[in-house]
Amino acid sequence: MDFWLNGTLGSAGSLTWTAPQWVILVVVTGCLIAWAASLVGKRAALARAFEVCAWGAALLGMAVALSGPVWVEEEGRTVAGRLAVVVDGSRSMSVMEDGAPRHEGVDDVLEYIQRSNPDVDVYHFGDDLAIGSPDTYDLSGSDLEGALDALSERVAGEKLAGVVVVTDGLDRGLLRRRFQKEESPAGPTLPGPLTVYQIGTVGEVLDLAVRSVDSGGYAFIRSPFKISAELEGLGYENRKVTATLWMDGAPLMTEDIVIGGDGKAEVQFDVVPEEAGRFTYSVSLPVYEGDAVPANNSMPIAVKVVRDRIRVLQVAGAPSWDVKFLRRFLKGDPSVQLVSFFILRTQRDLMTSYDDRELSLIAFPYKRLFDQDLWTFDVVIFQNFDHQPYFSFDSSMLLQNLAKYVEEGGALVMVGGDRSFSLGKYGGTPLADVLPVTIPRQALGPDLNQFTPQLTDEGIRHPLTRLAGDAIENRAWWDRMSPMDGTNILSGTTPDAAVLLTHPSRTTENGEPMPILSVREVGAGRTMALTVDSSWRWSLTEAAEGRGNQAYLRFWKNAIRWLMKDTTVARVTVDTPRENYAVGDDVRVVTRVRDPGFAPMEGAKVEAVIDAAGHAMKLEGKTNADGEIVLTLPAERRGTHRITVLATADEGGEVGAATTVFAVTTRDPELDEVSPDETFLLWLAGSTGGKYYGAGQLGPPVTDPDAGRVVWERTETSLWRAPALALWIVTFAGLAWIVRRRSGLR
Amino acid sequence: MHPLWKPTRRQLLAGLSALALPGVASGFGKPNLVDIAELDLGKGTLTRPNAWKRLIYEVIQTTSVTCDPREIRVKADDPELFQHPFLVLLGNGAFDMPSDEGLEQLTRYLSYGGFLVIDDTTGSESSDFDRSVRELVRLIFPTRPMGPIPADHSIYRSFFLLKRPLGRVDRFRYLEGVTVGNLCPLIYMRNDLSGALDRGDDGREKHSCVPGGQTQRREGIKLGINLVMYSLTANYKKDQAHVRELMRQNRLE
Repeated sequence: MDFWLNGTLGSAGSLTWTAPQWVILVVVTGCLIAWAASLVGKRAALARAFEVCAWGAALLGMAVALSGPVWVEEEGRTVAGRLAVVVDGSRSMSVMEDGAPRHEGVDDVLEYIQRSNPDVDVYHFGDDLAIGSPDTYDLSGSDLEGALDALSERVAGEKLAGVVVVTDGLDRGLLRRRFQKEESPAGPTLPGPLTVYQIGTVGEVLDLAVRSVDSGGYAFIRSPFKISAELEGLGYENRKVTATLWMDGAPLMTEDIVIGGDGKAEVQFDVVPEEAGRFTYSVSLPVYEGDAVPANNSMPIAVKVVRDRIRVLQVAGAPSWDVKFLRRFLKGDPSVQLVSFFILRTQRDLMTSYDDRELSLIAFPYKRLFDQDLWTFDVVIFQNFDHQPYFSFDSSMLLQNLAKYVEEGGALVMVGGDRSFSLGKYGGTPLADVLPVTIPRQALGPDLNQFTPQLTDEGIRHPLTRLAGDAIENRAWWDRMSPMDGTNILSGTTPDAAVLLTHPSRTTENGEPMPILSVREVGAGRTMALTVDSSWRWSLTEAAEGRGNQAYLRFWKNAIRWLMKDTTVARVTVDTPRENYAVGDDVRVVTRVRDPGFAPMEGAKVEAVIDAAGHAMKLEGKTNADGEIVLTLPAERRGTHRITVLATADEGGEVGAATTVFAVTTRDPELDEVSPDETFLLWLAGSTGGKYYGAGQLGPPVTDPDAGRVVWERTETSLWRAPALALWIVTFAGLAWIVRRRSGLR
Repeated sequence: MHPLWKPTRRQLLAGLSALALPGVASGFGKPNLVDIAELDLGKGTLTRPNAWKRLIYEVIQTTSVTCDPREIRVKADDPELFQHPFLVLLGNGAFDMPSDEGLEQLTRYLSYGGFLVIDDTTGSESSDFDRSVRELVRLIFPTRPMGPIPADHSIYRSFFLLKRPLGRVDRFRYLEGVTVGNLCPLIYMRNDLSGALDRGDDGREKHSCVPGGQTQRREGIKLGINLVMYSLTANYKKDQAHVRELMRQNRLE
């Protein structure tokens, strides 16, 4: 019988039609049409009845066959429960013990379990549960309770033969936190009896670590500030180690410290920054052989160094209102440390009856100023100062010093007067080589006519002459400014100078408007030439008009900022809102690009390279209408990050580059603790009635012999292939055909 | 060459030659030179242009400052005031307070860098001028009372080392002033400094200095020069470089 039905048909089974419904519909329709066709033709009534019935039976069999009948039977059976092994894949499992990573002990445990238990499912966990044993032990979290809950969900209420946890016990999830905080915490709910295998040995960990670094925010240039660090030395209690402070990758200083009996210590470094800007410092401890986590032996921090006070040297050939008001401004600016030297008496004033003892005058220490102390100043202002009577035979050498000072990053201002420029015999001197103007060798008398300086196109955009934020308002300020009382006469400006103010009518030999205010970048320094000696009128005379002295203050403040290369007045600037970030933070890199006139440059291409200890990332984009682009990157890696941006104009010319640094300083929580938590694991096993095996111990896991699961088996018998059905069709079709032929039909 | 330069013979000759030569341009135009303007508050106030001419002459002769010895007299409400950062007010009797506009302008002038020297020419313990001056100062600086100026103030060392503020008389041993920040934009003296400086058109002294005579007058001139230098250099002589050097030379106590 089984042969004729193509298999055994159990009584608990059911019939299922496997052909698509449309196929069944077509087949049934086709069969009905064929059956109707069998009615056509003349023959005896008995023959007709027999033929029609035979055809009907044959076509019915065919329709059934083509509809794909299958006999389906399902039967459940219970099999023994499986053993789930959950392995900790977090970074703490990579801690070095005796020169080898801790996780090497996992293989022994797995091998032992699998040898005696054939039905083992292996999982690993960090913050989540995943199938299989871990490839690398570098997951950034370890949530054991989350992993066990995920396992319970996965087996969907089935009882497991056992649950095996292989870990160092440094769980950063809620389970261990409850264990640490609560008096009698509840253990986890598990789908089977628990066995815990501890990985790692308590007390064998040797680890020096920098836990935190603090700089107090920001520092002032040339003012000492402290960088302090919290240190930890597991296995180094009461031992002396050397902490090193690094700055931008170079060692700066060292401090010997003794790790306390509790394994902790602090170190402080007194740092005196010499330059303004952002710098990365890092505190490091030596990496001795066997150090559990070499990566936590150093920690960086970015420090913003700002100028406490700008050191300005103001040298004036004689007291004047111009000198008075400039000194008054500089003295009133808390960010400026001013050193003034005014020539109060010249050679021509010596023939008076006053004795030197009656005078409060001191010698002009010009040699010390321009030979030794020069480099300590940020800005040098020559205000109507003629060098020859004082520098004498040292003129060439001292002016050469000044030129070198500028080229190496200093700032120089020459303010006009009857002792300045050609009248001060600066033509042909080394100083003339660095100023933005060309000074005639012969002394040219000043133009004593009053005039109002004219703002040039460059002056409209330049930060130095920006008295008001709005361009139209700025021009209006300059147009209404008090007239000047005269100007020095110059030959012109150097090709790389920017002329910001000009004389309204007077021209140079080349027919160019006579420069009144010009600036220039020379080497690493900057220079400025102001050919008038009555800028003080922008203070007092403006006040007469009820406009206060804002014009004067803004002009000189802008000048000092530009001369100091204040980063906010560079054409390309890059910055991040903070100096230090935590892992996972988004870092916004803000780049601003301005054209030579300091107008926002739209469409400039900005390429930013972020270098984090050899791992480089490149971002790029184009500036918006405000000349600004914000690129965002994730802070993924602990350490110093140096950002270098290069801006190019739409037409391809390079606009400039800028650089800044930030640090990702968050310590790695996974490595906050490195010593295995034996107590926690003992509790874990005990709270669930399970078993605990210490480091290196191997033993059979606890299993539940009653645990099992139902496995459903399904048997399908394809009736459409049954020989009985084929025989049915052939028999009735053959009978119908024979009867039909005998009736004389075809 | 520095201020305490000890000339060699050759340098002395060079210096003498320089004196004989016409000077180079002195500042850019007269408006920019140092001058002294008298504040005219009407009855009770005086004018002594020759005193200021003499002071300017002394400043030119003694210091490197380039000055313009012209006569200038301005009203409190005259915007011309702001063209002359050194202003003097002298008198011998009660005077009317300036108008609100004049007071407002004087306040603005002194706040933005102007300098006012007030000279009581009576030299007496109690004068109507003194009372008017105190009322004027109270109106200009309602929150900053006028007080004595200490002996180590920059005014006493801005060019000469002085111990006392002498004028035609030697009655008051200190100057008074109003301090704003670390500067004194207003100085009040009661020993008749302008009397010590003043002289007639014939060049003769107009007033005798008592009790010290010409020696006292010389000290008055030195005070005048110091006031001009202080108005130009403010507390320059309080800079550490100067103080250290003067103390090293035992010239400061």
